Amino acid sequence: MTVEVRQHAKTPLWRNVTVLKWTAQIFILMVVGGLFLVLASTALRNFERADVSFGWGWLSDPPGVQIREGIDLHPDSGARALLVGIVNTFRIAISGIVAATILGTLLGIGRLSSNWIVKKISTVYVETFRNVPLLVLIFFWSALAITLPGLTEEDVGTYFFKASNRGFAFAWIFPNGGFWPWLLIVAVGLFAARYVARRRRKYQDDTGRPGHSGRYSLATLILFSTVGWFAWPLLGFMQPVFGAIESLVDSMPAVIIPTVIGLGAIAASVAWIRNFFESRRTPAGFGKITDDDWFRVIFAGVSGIAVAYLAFTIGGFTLEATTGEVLSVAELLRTGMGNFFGGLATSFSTQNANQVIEGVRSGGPLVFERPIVELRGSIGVPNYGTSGMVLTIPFFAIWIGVTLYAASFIAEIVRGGVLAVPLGQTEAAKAVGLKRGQLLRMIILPQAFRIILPPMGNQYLNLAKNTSLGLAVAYADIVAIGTTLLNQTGQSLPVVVVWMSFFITVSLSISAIVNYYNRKMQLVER
Amino acid sequence: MAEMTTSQEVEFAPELPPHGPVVWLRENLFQNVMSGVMSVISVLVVVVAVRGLLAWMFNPRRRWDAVTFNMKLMMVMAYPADQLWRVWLSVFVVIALVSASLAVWKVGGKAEPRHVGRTFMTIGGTLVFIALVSPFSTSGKGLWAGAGALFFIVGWTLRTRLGERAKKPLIPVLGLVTVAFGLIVVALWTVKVPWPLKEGDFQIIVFEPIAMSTRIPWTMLFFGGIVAYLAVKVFAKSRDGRRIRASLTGLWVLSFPTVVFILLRNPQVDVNRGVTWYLPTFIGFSVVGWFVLTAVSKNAKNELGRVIAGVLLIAAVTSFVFPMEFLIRFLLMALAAFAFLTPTFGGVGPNQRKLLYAWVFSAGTIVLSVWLTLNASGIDVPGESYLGGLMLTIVLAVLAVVLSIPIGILMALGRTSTMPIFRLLSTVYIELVRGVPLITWLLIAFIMLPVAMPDGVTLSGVMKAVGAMTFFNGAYLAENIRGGLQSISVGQKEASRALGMSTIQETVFITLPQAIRAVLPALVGQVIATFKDTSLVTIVSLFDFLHIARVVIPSQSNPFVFKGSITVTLVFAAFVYWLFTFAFSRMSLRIEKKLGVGER
Repeated sequence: MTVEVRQHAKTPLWRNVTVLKWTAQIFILMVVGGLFLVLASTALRNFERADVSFGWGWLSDPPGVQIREGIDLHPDSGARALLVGIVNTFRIAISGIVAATILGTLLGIGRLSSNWIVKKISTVYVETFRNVPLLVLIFFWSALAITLPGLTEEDVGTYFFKASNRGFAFAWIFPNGGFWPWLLIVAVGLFAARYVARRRRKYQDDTGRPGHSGRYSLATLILFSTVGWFAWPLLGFMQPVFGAIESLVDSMPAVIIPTVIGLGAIAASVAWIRNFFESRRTPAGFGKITDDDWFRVIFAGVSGIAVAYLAFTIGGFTLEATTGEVLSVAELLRTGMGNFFGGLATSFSTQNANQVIEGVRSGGPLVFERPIVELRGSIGVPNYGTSGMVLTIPFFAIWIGVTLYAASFIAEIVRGGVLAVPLGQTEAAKAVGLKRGQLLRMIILPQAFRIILPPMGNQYLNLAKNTSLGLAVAYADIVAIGTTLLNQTGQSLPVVVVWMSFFITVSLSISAIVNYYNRKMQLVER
Repeated sequence: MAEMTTSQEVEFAPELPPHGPVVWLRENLFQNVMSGVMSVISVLVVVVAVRGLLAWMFNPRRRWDAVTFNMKLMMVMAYPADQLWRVWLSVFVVIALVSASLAVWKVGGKAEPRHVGRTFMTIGGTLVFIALVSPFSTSGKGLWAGAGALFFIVGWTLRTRLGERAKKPLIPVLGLVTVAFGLIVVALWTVKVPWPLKEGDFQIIVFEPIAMSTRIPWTMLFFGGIVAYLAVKVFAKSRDGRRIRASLTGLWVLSFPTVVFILLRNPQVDVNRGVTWYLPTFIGFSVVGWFVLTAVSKNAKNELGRVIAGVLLIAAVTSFVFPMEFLIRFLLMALAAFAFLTPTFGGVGPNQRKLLYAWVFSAGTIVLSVWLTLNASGIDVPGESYLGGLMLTIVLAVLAVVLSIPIGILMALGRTSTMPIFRLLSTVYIELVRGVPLITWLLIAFIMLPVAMPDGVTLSGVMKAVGAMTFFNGAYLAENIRGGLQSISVGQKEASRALGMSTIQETVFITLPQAIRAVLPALVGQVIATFKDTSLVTIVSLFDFLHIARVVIPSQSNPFVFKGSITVTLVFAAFVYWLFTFAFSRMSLRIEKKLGVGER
């Protein structure tokens, strides 16, 4: 008996799955890249024909931008104007997120309430506001708010709250001289409170007597804040320390910054690749390394080198400052870092005492300010003064628009999260005798929170992006200011790059934070 | 003993739980002190809010005539009046298709009288409540209260007087809907709304029936819809349901380009060019494609088929490098795609024939749409586009949704693929697009797209907006579909592998249908979001519905000045948007229930 062994021919190249897959991928990559190149080269050719040349000079040139609100109404450079826009975007986004979360959570719980009318009101609210375009809401509130009465000479005075077609002014708390040292003391107080709470809990565990950890830690925090309120000038010795750091930064060669970034990137990618191979190593040598793994390794290496390359290239870009001085980006960064430490030094200075203005302003590191209406300009037009918090009509319109809109979605998320907690949890909690408040606080909400978190993060991201609709009511956010700069300078491509990098950074950061918490909160199952 | 137990059981038969208005109040509004306080506050809030809203709406200073007078502007913008029959015909096409679909898919069913009665009582109660809290005159209050009482009594009768019959499904839902629409049509003829008139230098407001010029078309549409429903019902009775459903789906697909590109646009067709160039191209490609695809499907299992498909693909790609008619490039691309898909869908016998028919059909559609799109519009509209108003809003939404579906599916497949470059490309696309707000994409499209186009190609504003919205929507759809793809169990894939399916077959026949079914509610949500997002085009000054309500009407000066009426027009716009999205979200709920998503 002879067993015939059929020799299988080696798989031909055009049947080899690996070869086919990589051919297809490289083919598609080339098609996509080619398409991109064709579009880009056409665009560049057309720009050249229209005699437009792109550069970054507009970032340092004084812009002709009229900014109606923000940290700086007369920015001296394009970059500064964009910074004002970024701060304005964050102002809306953060205040909107806080307000929408509170309103949305109340509505979401309201929809689950056993009280019939509360339930109905929440339902009607949600069904109304999530079915209307946000832009319509914003325009509506804006149109409604400008019908408010204007300011007249009879209105001159000091107020706690004042609404007019110039905007809404109300009393608010602002940081003052000594704020940063005081905040530092409060931060130390937070750590101390945590330590105290741990000690009290240990005491309770050891002795069996109630430790009152919550009360003790709260008392510690209050103690630190109160003492710090008056004792912050004692930290004045930090001023020369920061001053020394400032001069140190200013004297170092600028090339250090791209060097550190580039070396860091390469080191990180090398470390990642080493860890990767280590994790694949088995007692029998390297385990199976798939196409995907090789791709990752190559990608990690290439991106490390690319970041280093970019750091050096961009660091070498030169900009012409307003003063006519030519500075490289690295030098600008160095100046920025120096200014940061300089600012810290100033804020720790004891010379910077509180200014108290009778009837308008009072307080220590934090001041309480009331808005005033005064006659301004040479002809005496009644308008709000510089104290207190003044929200312009565009700010109000966009803020209330995004808040009302996002709250309806957040309400649905909260409702879904609470409903997703299994009924058995409620029953078990009742069986062990928890009260209703305890049941909500200790059983339902922590579990619902875990379910709520990812969609909530998404909603926050949406809200942050929706603030860009401020453009429609001329709110000076980054998109509106970018559009103005673009129209003035014609630098369309750079402005688009700035927009994209800003929004991508924000959205990636928010999703990174959400993912981090999500991983921390996730149930660990066997 | 036994007898006694029995009698006792009878004696202590379970009582009905206590009921009545007082019990209801105690159980729903005043369970405890806290709840009672909240109820009182809420009632006060509702009364104040409703009263304020009504006082605002019925204030004589509100210029509602800004809405009624400009209704045509808001719906179709500057579409010429003598061509309006095209718009009506388009609406009729949609209504007829909806009616036919209702008949074929047997939507509706029957409702129980007690549920209908409950709805009627709710409506009646709301009307009476409005009459009570409203700041109207006594006669106005009486009218509202009377209407409310009528509804309430009808509901009450349905709920209580029918006895046991109230629990049987007796009332056809579609009949109710028809009656409701019929009432609306009657209202078009009778209900009077403010209408501005000029007398000398003065402007006075007279009251005229709603829809002075449109009541006849609307009435005809109403009866047309009923006729279409009944006709299709009779027609479908004796025929193969599957075939009818398939042809109806085809009609839906065809209806959109027909309405937008032929009916509303009335292309000025150059017949000469059609006969000398488009017809021969179509015939040539159909015949060549027929033979090529036959050859490929015969050789589907050996190398020749692959070689032919590969050569076609290379030819299609290289065609983009050489100067050539766009039409030929498109057709080559389509033929290459068909050749690659032949081993999956083709084969022998009826399947092969179906594939060949599909090829001829696709080639015809491509040739026809290119031909029709390149011809100038026969509708002379001032401005850039023959679309405007609500018409533009709807067309934008439909185009953005339809065009982004293939992008969404491809990108979702790419992101879940095992092939790293595909995954990288689609991940970058999705994250990049989702990270940047739509308004920024619209601005980028309006700034950069015209520059990136080759010479001689100009894009209209609508095209740019559709491009940006499709690009944006595709990423969101991709994320939704990816959720569905990841919910498919590995067992499904293993089973299809065990049956000897190729990767494409597995994806197209097994994975994708299940994935899309699983995320259908989320997809409808995305459609709603897209519809709402179309309002952003007002920022780039397209004359969509919102732009007319926000900019055009308040800045009108001839024949009437509607300055300061912006809140009124915006409220009306909000209401129309709300109607559409609310209807969609209810539809999504029905689909969810019907598919039983989340219950498996």
